[in-house]
Amino acid sequence: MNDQNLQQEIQKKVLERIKSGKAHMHPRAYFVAQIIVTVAVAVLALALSAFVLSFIIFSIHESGEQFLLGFGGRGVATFLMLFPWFSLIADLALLFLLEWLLQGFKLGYRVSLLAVFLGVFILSALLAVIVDFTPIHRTLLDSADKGNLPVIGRLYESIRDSHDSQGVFKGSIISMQGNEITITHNDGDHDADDGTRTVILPQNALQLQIGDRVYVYGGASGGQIQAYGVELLSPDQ
Amino acid sequence: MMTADPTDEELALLVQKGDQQALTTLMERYTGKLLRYGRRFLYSSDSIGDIVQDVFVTVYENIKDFDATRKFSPWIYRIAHNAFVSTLRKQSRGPLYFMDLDRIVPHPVYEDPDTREKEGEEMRVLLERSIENLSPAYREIIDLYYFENFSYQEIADILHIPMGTVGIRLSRAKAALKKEIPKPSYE
Repeated sequence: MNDQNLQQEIQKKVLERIKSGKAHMHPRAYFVAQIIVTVAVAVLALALSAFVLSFIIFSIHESGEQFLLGFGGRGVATFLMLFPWFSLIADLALLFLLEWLLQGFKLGYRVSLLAVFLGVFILSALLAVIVDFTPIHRTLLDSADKGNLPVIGRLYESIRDSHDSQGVFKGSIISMQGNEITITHNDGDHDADDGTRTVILPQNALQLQIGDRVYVYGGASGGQIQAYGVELLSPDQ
Repeated sequence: MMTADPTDEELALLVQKGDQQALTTLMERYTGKLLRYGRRFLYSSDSIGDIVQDVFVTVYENIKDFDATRKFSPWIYRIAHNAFVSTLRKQSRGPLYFMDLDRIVPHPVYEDPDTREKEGEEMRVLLERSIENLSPAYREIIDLYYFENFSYQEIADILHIPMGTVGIRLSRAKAALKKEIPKPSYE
């Protein structure tokens, strides 16, 4: 078939498909609905991403793990081990979904992928900071503590998890003698981190008093903990 | 009021209102162009006629999504691009745009209006001679720029990539094309 005949054949077949009803013109409402769904999914992905990012910030602060960054190289290594990587991966997945959705819009494809990613990340981070100013995570954590939070309850409970094997201990001071303190911890879940421990303080330890809640990073041996660093926790941490 | 020789955009508006004669006129204007674009892009596919047919059906189905304040040609080429990419994926010719590193970081844009004129004929000859050895992504961008005469901005809208990436991909395509041509021997 020469090119002229092929062109006429194509045009004829297209018109036949339209006349036979095999091809239908979509109404404008169809495209409006498509845009609305895409924008709704994008907004949902952004909101979820901000929520997950704010949860990461809240969980690090609530568990006291940011103190590890001040305890030298070993502390930083432990911080990286205890970091909520799963939440971060979930957040990145949401940001990539958002980036993919934005590629359908001029705003999304006319700039580089890196610029779009940084843009959505910064937006998500700003929203996360705003979410962290609200009591939402505190309320959800309280519900999880009481066993009233289904599905994501375990995620919140993990903030209270014991990390004895990584040398992280939390508790309230019940007695002090020289450079030794005794701490007790009971978060009501009857697990391994509940109980009483003796801590040998480092030389440059903070001024502490009975009743203080402390975050201790150190090595356990012979029933005692040799602390590398101690920080004060707030009463609700 | 319709002019004697309506623009593509005026015809598209008529198609939106159900005018099939306007659709026929649009097809007459674009069938040859899309066949040529498809042959350069897909090179060895023998189903280009069927794909172009599907492109026109998609145009008809989605015509109400076309904004007549914008140019029609980049819009229909975007639909054709998607159809050809889909065919290449089905043919499993390896990753086409799977990991385009040039899209990750921004690139400066400089579109020299004289380049197309100066290099156009040379590129047309080079492409006809070594088209089968060039990757589809490079074949496509050379075709869109030198053969279909689209601007960087229009190519960016067809391929959904930043303008800076159009420039860098085009210069890589030209370099690849020139490498394919054996140097003249003086022995």
